[in-house]
Amino acid sequence: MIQVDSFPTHTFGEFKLRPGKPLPFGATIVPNGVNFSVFSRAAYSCELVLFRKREKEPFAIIPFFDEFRIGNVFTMVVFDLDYEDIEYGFRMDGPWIPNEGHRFDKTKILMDPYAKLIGGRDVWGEDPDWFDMYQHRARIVFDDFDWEGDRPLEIPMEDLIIYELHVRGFTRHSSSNTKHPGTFSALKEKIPYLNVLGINCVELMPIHEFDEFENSREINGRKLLNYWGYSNLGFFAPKAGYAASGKFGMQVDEFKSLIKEFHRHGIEVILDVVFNHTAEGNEMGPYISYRGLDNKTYYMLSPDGYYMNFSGCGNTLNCNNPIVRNMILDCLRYWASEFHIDGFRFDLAAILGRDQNGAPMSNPPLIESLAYDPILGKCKLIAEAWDAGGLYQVGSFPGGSRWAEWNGKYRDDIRRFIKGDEKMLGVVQQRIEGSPDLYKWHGGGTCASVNFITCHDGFVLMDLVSYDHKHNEANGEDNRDGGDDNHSWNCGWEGETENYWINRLRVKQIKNALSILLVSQGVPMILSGDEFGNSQFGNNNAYCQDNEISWLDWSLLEKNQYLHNFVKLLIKFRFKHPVLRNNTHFQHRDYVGSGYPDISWHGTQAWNVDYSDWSRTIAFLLCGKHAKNGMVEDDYIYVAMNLHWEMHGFQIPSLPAGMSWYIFSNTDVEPPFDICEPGYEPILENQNEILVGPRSVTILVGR
Amino acid sequence: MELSINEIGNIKVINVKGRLDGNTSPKAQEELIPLLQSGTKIIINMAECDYVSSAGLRLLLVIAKTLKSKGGKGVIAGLLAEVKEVMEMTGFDRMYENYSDTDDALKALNEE
Repeated sequence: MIQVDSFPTHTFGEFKLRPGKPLPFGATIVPNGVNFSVFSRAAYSCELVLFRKREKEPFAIIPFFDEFRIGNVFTMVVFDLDYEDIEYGFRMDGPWIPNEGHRFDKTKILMDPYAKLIGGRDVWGEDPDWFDMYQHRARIVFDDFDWEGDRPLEIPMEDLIIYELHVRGFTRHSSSNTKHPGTFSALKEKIPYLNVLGINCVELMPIHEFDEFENSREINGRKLLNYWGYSNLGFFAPKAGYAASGKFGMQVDEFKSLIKEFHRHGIEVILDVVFNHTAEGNEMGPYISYRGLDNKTYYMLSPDGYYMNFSGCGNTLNCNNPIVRNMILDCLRYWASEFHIDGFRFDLAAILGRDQNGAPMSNPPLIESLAYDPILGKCKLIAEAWDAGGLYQVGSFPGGSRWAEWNGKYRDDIRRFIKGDEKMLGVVQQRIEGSPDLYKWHGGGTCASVNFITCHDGFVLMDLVSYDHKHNEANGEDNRDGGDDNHSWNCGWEGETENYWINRLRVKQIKNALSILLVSQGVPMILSGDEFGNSQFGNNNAYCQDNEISWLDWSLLEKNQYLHNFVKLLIKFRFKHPVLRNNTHFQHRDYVGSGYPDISWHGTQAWNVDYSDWSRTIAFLLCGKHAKNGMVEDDYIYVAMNLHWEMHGFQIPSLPAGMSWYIFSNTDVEPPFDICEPGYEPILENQNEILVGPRSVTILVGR
Repeated sequence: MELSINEIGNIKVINVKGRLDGNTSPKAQEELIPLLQSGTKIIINMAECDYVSSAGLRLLLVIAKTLKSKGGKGVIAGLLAEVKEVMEMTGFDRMYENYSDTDDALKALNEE
């Protein structure tokens, strides 16, 4: 049946129009036309500017008539547009009173903050026309997609193994052997590799449209770009330059197709979202969208109208303003419902808890809204619980049990332990148990803690064991950028070496790190490439290095195939043993009548930990009968960690009668005898004691 | 874009010439959907179609879904390399069986 509102009521020149619907915001395809809707509280008037795709001059500028404004929303339907071939923007007229926060400029063409497709940087790294008056162009998208029955996987949080990767860096290197390197399409080609490795969740560094040319510069003949992309242009649009089909404007379909394929292979997709600032920078920055639409609404401003900078990037998104809060909610709902995204990791999430003056709130409305949102109800929500303004909330992020956190303390403490620091045993116990010291009262159990030793920020794992200090000269800031608190140790030589013993120790330290990570309670996260010893040559802040420094070198997969095999089997081991994946914290007692507490700690003597400052040996025993709160029966697992530089004998706790110890892994042994196929472990000859080599980790299974 | 349709036995061959995009797809849809009846067999000959946009891909998908709902069968023949590549990148490559030319497609459909 033809609807009454599919007929125009007004004309402007050759264009037929009618009053639009204020919701949803953005551009929506409706019968016979497109509904445009944009918010501004302080604008006097608004115009719709229409371009044919990639043309420099607009073909139409259509004012929103007074009767097209509802409240603070300008909305109209324009009929008979070839919506696949147009780009649109807005021009807003309003006050220019910077010290009151208003920065309207009616000459600027502004991108729709709800744009779901953004043109202008269609092919990665291709120089744009810098004189173009409208750089980042909103386009209209087809929302429909043939999902073939796909839906988010809803894997229980405690069963996840997260794998963090950069879409471009993962396959851009010539060694990646993909058809369209550096794209969503190439990532799809790598799904079988991820299946073999065994991870079940990828966390994608920002895939929203950003400008790789933002702050680009040339250092020693090398072009540095905004490669990581922690600087959004639009929150609703996938990055065109990450799509092999971006030049045809088909990035939405390509990305959806990738997600469908991940899901078909049992892998969840988490997006790294950056709601703390935008690419518009400070007072000196460009007009892209928000600044010209309603500066005072979208940004945190000082009383005299300057941009507050809690993000370290020039401005701070005004997350707890109701308009911005709704935009963030709309955005996440869109990704969850239209793209089937399984979860989100919030960059510098502490900012999400600041009020409109920048002060931290005890019960921030945005964080609460996200936790209780019906559409996001099964999405994983993970906070990077700090910001650049000095707010550090690991263990105290105000989100309640729905929120997990990147556990920065896990990273630091385990790094120090592996490196051989003193006085680490007490905190290491906490970290391995899922950090009950931080999360016991949080309500989310062990799943509150996303455990990681490396992530995109800081050293990759091979560099953590190859460099004492960062080497960021290539970033062109005299090595001042990047963190200095790396807790790294080069094993005897700074950087690459031919020395067999040093290289052997490095690989062993990597295996130690990943062994501990994968037997810790909580959610492990692995940085892509660490499983085959990828290096960034000592650069611990490769945000601008779109080159071999940060691209994964797949030739190392063959060179370090034994390391890869070790990680693959560790992952398999974790999946085989539910006792490693409890979702509640240990009680340190026997509540099932097995005669063993759920977890017990040991030293070189069974049942007796040496907590001396200089002690670097510790072991733990997990009672299989306590797996998943005693609901599931598993094997017993004993992990002996000797991070001392001498070999130590560990007395092993005895097992219930009829059971024996089998040896799963020993990082001190040369491959292929360093690890076994889970379930096929050989029996341990001496059931009472094992020798654990210098700086080594051994894992036993009791059954 | 031009459409021409010929019938070989009980199979309709739809020849698409030119660009299948937001401009041309609605008209093509109007023309093609009524042809799809219970048990219809079609070959979409794309040998002279040099560009398929998002809207064009959606038209192909709508045809595939309509055929499926009516117990018909459709295949594609003669896809140009670039068009085929776009379909692969965007995941639209699984909606039809794909043959190098109409002869091959005819043979396959007749053998069923």
